Amino acid sequence: MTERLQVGVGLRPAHYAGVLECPPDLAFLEVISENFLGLQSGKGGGRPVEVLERVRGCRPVRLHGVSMNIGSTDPLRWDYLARLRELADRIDPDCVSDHLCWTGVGGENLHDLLPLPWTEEALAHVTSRVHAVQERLGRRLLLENPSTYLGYRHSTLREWEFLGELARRTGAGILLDVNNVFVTAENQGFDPHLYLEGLPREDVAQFHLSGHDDSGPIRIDTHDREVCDPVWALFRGAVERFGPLPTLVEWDERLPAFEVLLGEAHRARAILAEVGDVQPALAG
Amino acid sequence: MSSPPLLAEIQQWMRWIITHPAGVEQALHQPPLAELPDRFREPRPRQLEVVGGDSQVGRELRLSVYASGYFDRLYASLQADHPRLEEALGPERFRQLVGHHLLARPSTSPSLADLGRGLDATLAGLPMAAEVPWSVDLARLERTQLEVWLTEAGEPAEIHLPADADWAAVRLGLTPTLRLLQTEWTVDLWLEEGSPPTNEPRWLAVWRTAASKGVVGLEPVAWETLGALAAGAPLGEACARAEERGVAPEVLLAEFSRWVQRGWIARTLPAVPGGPGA
Repeated sequence: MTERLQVGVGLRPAHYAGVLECPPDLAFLEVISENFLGLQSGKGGGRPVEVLERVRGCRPVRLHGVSMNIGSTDPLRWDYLARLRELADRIDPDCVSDHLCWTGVGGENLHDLLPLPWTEEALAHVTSRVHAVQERLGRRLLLENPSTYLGYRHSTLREWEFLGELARRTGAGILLDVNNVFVTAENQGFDPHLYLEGLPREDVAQFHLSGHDDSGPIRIDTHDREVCDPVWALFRGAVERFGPLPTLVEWDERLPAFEVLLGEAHRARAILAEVGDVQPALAG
Repeated sequence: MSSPPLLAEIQQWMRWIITHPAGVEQALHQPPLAELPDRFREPRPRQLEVVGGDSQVGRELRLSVYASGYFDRLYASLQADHPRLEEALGPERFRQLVGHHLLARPSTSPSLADLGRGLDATLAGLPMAAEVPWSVDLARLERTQLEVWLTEAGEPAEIHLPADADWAAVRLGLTPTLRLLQTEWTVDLWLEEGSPPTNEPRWLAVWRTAASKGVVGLEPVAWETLGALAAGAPLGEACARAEERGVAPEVLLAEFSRWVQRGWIARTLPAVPGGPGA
C-alpha cells in the first residue's frame, strides 16, 4: 500500500519569506488562527492574511486556534467565531482545531490553556458548545489535549475518557498532542500509555509534537526546543495504535533555523513510514 | 458530604488567583490589598482544596506556573508590539507599565494584538510619562503602526475621473491602511533616524500598502486636507480650505500626486446626492 505521509510544521512569521521563496518538502503548514483575525475594532486580518493567502497558494494550511475558550462558562464569542469562519472560508484550510481547555472567564481573556475538571458537568457543558461551534463554522472541529500542570480532586473521569466521550457525543475529532500527553502524565503521575490506550482509535485525526522544559519540578510545555526522546518513543506508540496520521511539529519560542524544524519533521515522517508501513512521499 | 464545586465557581476563583498582581502566595495568605480593583476580591467559596497537589509538587506551586505564565505571556506580547517604547522607558519601567496596564485594561479580546489598545492612556497616568515626556507619543505611534499592519488593504486602488466630471464634487476614498496622527514630540524622527526627540508638533501619516509601509511627516495644511478628504469632504471644498491657508494650486497638485503614488488615495466615490455638483 502506498499512502501519502502528511507531515507539517507550525508556520511562524520568521519563516514566511523563506517558505514563499522556496516551499519546503512538507505536506502542510499550520498557523495560529488568532494571528490572522486582525483587530477587534477592524475588519479582516491585514497584512498577515495577505501573506497567508500566498502561502496557501503553495501548500495546504491548517488553522489551529488558542482562544476559542470552549470550556469556559462565559457565553461563546459569536464575533470571534464569525471571524474564524470568515478566515476559514477565505483560506480553505484542511482543518480547524483548538484546545480542550478554557482561556478566560468574566469577559477576561487570560491567553492560556487552562485545565478543566473532568466531570460530567464539564462534559455536558463542553459538548453543547462544541455542537454550537461546529454548526457556526460549518465544519468538524478538532480538539487538542493541552499540557496541564494541575488536576482537580473532584474529577470523576480520566482525561482520555472525557476526550473520547466528547468526540463520541459531538463528532469532533481529536488532535492528539503527544508531547502534551507526556507532560501531563509526568506532572500528574500517570502512565502516558494508558492515555493512548484509552482513546477511541477512530476519533484521533492528527498528531502534534513539540519540545518541553524539564528543568524544574514541573514540566512546562514551552515549544522552544527539539522533541525529547521519551516523546519520540511515545509518538511511535501513538502511530502503532492510531496509524500514520497527519503529524505536525510545533516550535514557537527561540526559533531555530528552518532546517532544524525540517529535521524534526523528517524524523516524524520516518517513524510514520516505519511504524505505519507506508511509503514516504514528497509534498505535492 | 458537600456537593462538588460548580465549573463556574472554579473558573472565577482560578481567574482571581492566576491574575492576582501580588502573586499566588500573597493572594492566598495575606490580607487583600485595598488599592486593587474589585475584581481582585477573592470569590467565595475558596477553591484551593479542589486543586490537586502532592508532597513533591504542592498546589501553590502548580498554580504559580499558571500565574507567572499569565504575566510573562502578556508582557512578551506587549514587548513585541512596542520594542521602541521599551527601549525608551527601559526594561524596568516597561515591566511596571505592563503591570499597570493589565490592572487597568485586562485583555477582553481573543487576539493578543488588541492588548496594547489604550497602552498610551495607561502610560499617561503614570509618573514615568513625565520622566520620559515623549513616551506617550511613542506608544501612540507604535500602536498606530500595528493597527495599520493589521488592517485590511481592501480592493486595489482604482481612480477613475471622467473628463466631463465635476471635479469639485468628487469625493476621494482613502486607503483604510492610512492613519493620520498628530504628536507633540518628534518621535517619528527618533524611530527613523535616532535623533533625540524634541518638543515640536508633528503631523504624521502612517500607512502600508502590500509592498511598503512607512511613517512620514506632513505639512499641517496637507495633513488637514487629507483629514478633510477622509471625513468625506468633496475635493473642491478640501482644496478651497487649503488655498485659504495660502497653499498654491501647484503645490497642492504635487501633494496629490505623491498621495496617489503612495497608494493613499484608493478610489473616487460617488457624489453625495444634493451635494456640490449633484
